[in-house]
Amino acid sequence: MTGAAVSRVRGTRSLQLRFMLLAFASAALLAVVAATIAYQFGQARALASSRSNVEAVVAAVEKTLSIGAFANDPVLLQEVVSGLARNEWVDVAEVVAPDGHRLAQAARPGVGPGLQGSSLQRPVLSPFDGSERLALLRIQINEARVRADADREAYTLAAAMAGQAAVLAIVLYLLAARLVSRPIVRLASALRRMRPGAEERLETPPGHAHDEIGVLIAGANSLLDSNERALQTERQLRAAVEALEAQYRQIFDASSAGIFVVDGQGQLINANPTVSRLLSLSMAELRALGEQDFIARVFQRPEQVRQMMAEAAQRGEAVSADLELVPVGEARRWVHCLISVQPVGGAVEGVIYDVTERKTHENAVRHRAEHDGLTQLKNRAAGEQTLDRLVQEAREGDASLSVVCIDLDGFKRINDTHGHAAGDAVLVACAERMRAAVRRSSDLVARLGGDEFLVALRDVGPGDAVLTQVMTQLIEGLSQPIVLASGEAVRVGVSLGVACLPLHGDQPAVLLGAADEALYHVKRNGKLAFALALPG
Amino acid sequence: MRCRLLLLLTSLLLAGAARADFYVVVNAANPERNLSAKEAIALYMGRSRAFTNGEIALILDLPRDDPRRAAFYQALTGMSVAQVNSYWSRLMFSGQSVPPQAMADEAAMLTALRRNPGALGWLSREPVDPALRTVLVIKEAAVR
Repeated sequence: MTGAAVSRVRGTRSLQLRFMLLAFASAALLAVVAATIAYQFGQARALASSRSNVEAVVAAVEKTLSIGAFANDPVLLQEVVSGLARNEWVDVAEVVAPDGHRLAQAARPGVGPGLQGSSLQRPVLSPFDGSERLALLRIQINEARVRADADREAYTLAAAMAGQAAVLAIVLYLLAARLVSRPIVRLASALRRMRPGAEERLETPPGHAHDEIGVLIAGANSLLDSNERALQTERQLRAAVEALEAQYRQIFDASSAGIFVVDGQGQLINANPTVSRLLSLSMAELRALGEQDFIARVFQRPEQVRQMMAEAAQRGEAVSADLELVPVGEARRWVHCLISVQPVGGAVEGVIYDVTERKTHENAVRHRAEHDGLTQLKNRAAGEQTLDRLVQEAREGDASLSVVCIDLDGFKRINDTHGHAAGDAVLVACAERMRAAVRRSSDLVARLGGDEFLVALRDVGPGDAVLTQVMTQLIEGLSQPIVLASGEAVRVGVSLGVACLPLHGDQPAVLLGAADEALYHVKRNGKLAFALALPG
Repeated sequence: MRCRLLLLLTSLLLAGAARADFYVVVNAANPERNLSAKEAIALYMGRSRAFTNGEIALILDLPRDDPRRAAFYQALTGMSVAQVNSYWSRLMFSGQSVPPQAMADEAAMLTALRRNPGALGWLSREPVDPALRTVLVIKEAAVR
């Protein structure tokens, strides 16, 4: 809320008070101007009035003066001028003969003699002959009195004007308060009490229906109308958005896919419960990851995920792959992960499905496809494929590689004499012994078919002691008797043909051919031996 | 109507009776031969108290209520008797001036003139007495 400070406008900010001050200032100015004019006017009037007063007094005594002057009666003249000098408008009155001789003079008490300032002169004529001038009456007018009168008149007028202006200002103030200020203040407080979007409207005070206040209120009401409509629309929109959001949230939370959002550095921003379930981490634990690198914490090969993120950002589309998670205990777990990067902000969305079962199944299938069901050695196809890879790697790494072709002697006879089960048992035992002789898991042992086997030894050349050692172990191991299930012991022979990379070639087929040739050479010249192929 | 007629008759009567001149007269022994109207006014209205030669004049008049006196002043100064009385009241108030001395009638005036060489008087008929001299004849003014 705007608070009480704004609710009441006080001091010089109040329109009403400002109006009143202006009205008073105008009134004061008017009064000053009026007083100035009134003073000038009043002074002129007072002067004129004093003159006419004095003239009237003089007219009253004119006859007596002319009689006194005619009869040369100084006492009478003195009486008359003394009478004149008692008049408040007169400072000094005197009668002077034509020859300049002063016949009579009188001054008002407190006024010194001497004529100066504004004066009035009247000839004293003979009472019997209007053309005969007997003397001159001179009267000095009381200037101070004139000025005082003028001042008083001016002050009275100015005071009247000022009073009138003040009354007018007060009346204007009250009118402004009643007609303008109060309705506006009421309007403002009514507006303040209103709740946004409410249905209530401002009431037009009686008598203001057709004036500016009415227009203002109508304007405010129409604003309130549109405000209410806008608020309703907004509420509906918000409700729709909230519903949509709840839906999305529901989808997000209930999704069988795990959905997570991380920032560019791999810190977790959000994740749904499925993620928690897939990762075997509680939501609290997920949240507690905080600034740890989520990617590094969760995925077995984080660098692969980062590569996917870079690729998704570069291509602007989702990138997907099956990824292995950090194992919990013994169990390995896989997820199918879709990574997409938001174009704005760079946040990374990941969607993960649990594919552990499928992956396990796939691995089993692949294992079955690549391995010989009897001996669990790699079958021909997988063996050749692995050989291809090993040759490739050796060639690229400038390393040596020895390829050994193995053939069992006397296997067919055991098979024919003791049955297939016995043959199978011999094959299984031989496979076991070959694995024991080769030892390194990175080396290849495959069953090419029947009683033919293939071994590939990495980093082993024709001159290495290891080659001779492994060959000897193979021959010795395989020529040991094999105890069948029936308790009988059987024995097989073995022939070995060896070809080396790069000595005998750098292609798998060439190497195989050379090793095969060496094998046949051994078979033709007696068994239980190994031979190195002739240099190509 | 009757009043106006009466007024008219009275006016005619007065005009007929008073249609006469006034004669300002001095003793024959007085060296004054001639007076101007102005001099006569000065003497009779208190401005002057002496003849041209400096001799103090004894100025004679009729009583205040004499109708001939009113006519005389009217002719001399153009003032009504009331105005003249008011004039003298003001001067007498100050005590500086004395109005002319009032005689009982014209006969007494004649006697005083004959007896006093410094006297100045006025008559409504031209004097035939050789002891007296007329110094000014005033035409009577029309009654307004």
